[in-house]
Amino acid sequence: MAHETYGEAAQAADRYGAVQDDLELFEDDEFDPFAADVDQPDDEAEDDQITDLPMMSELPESHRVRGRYDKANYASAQDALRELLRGNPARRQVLVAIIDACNDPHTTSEVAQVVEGVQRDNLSVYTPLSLCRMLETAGALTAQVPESSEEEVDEDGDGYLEVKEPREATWTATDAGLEVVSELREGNEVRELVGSASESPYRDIYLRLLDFCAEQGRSAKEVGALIDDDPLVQNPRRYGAHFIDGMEATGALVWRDKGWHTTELGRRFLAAERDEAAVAVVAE
Amino acid sequence: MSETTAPVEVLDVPATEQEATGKELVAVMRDRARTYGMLARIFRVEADDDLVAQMRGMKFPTATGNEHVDKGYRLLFNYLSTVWEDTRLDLARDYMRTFIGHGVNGHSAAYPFESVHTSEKRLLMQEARDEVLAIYRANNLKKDESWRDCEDHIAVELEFMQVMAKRTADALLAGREDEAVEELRTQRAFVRDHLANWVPIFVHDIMQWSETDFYRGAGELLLGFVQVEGETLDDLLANEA
Repeated sequence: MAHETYGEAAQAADRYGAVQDDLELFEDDEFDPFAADVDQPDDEAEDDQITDLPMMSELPESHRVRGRYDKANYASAQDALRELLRGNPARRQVLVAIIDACNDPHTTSEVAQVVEGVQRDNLSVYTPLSLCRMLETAGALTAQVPESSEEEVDEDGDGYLEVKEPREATWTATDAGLEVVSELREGNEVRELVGSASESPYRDIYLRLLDFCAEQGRSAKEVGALIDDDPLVQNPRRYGAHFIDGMEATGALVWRDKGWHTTELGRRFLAAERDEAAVAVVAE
Repeated sequence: MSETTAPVEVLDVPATEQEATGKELVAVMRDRARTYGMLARIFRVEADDDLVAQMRGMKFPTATGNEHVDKGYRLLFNYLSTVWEDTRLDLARDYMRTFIGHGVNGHSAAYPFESVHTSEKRLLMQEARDEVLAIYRANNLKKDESWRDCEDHIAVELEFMQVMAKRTADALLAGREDEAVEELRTQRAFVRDHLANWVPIFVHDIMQWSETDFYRGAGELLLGFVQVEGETLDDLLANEA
């Protein structure tokens, strides 16, 4: 007896043609599987739905798997965003730039332009949409998908929707996102890092690094030549990269035009530290 | 039922309308097969550019009489109306997150297998798989060599219904009325005993895991379609016990 097959075209590439054959079944523009159902469905079937079996929503929270920086994992969206930025120092600049730009709603392609500008010298495997999604998950952005209600009516008087010109999602920064960006501008993270118990012995090294990179872009090799022989970093041994990482993670240094540059935030921190030092000298 | 019995009589249709209704029935069977085919494709593997392009060319009815179907179409329409940077990658990621997951506790995804949802320990290859396998064999269907998943995968169950609906249309066209009615009985039993039994739970889980309107919409459409199918098959076989 002849047999038909099921499960066709699942994994093997050479079966792909069979999938296309199947798809021809719904190529019809007039596709409307329920139009031929002349009777309105009654409500009884709704009552037949199974409702007393265990549902995933009844599982303990510990069984749920969420993204690492999902705002649901944190006390607030602000905390989630701070952790996201801390955990992705190399993407910090672009993430902050996206939030900043989306203070005014931006479409995905407008965000892509922002990302392209910021990442010109710091390419990434993350697409602009991935970055937006990360920020959305952390609670720093919201996406508005355009609702289309351009319902049309066919010759039988039945309403239908048809995709005309696909439109873009619009991204808008949340209050939580803007609050964290505002905090970052104040430079608290740089002060906290340089003032921390583990890093405060290297305060002068940090200031020299920022000063050095404020003049012009510096390579890692040049930074190494500035720092690596300093008696302060011999025991325990520290290298220039350690200090670059710290300043990049707090937004005081950025890689641009093939060199490390002190950012505006870094310059403000440097100036404030110098003012403080001058006041201390006068007081003495 | 005798061999000369017209199918439309069995299917509770007045004699005067039999000829026209026969054509309508064939159209209904083909529409059902199309819908099963589309849903099977959506859940079988990740969406590709061709699938998205085809679906963008569809018309999405707004008032079918089933709220889940309407909502499903609306969600699909919303997703397909929006330009995402890389739709295929976006959908591949969501398919992975929704239907495969990365946990081993049996609760880390919307598993597309009937056995998982109908066995106490949420395991694969349980009673449901044996049952559907027996039904496929009883209907002269055998496993394609390329299919490596279990036979109670949602795509396979939908594909089974697609094949049966096409067979029913062919039988009606060829005047093999008894065969058509018998196939409708098989389909009604399959919907009652299998699809309607676990699709509501499966779709509920899709809503827990999916992050795109595409798979959320497909889930709503699947749920609504299975409901409508139960009603349609009951109506068509209204004279049956």
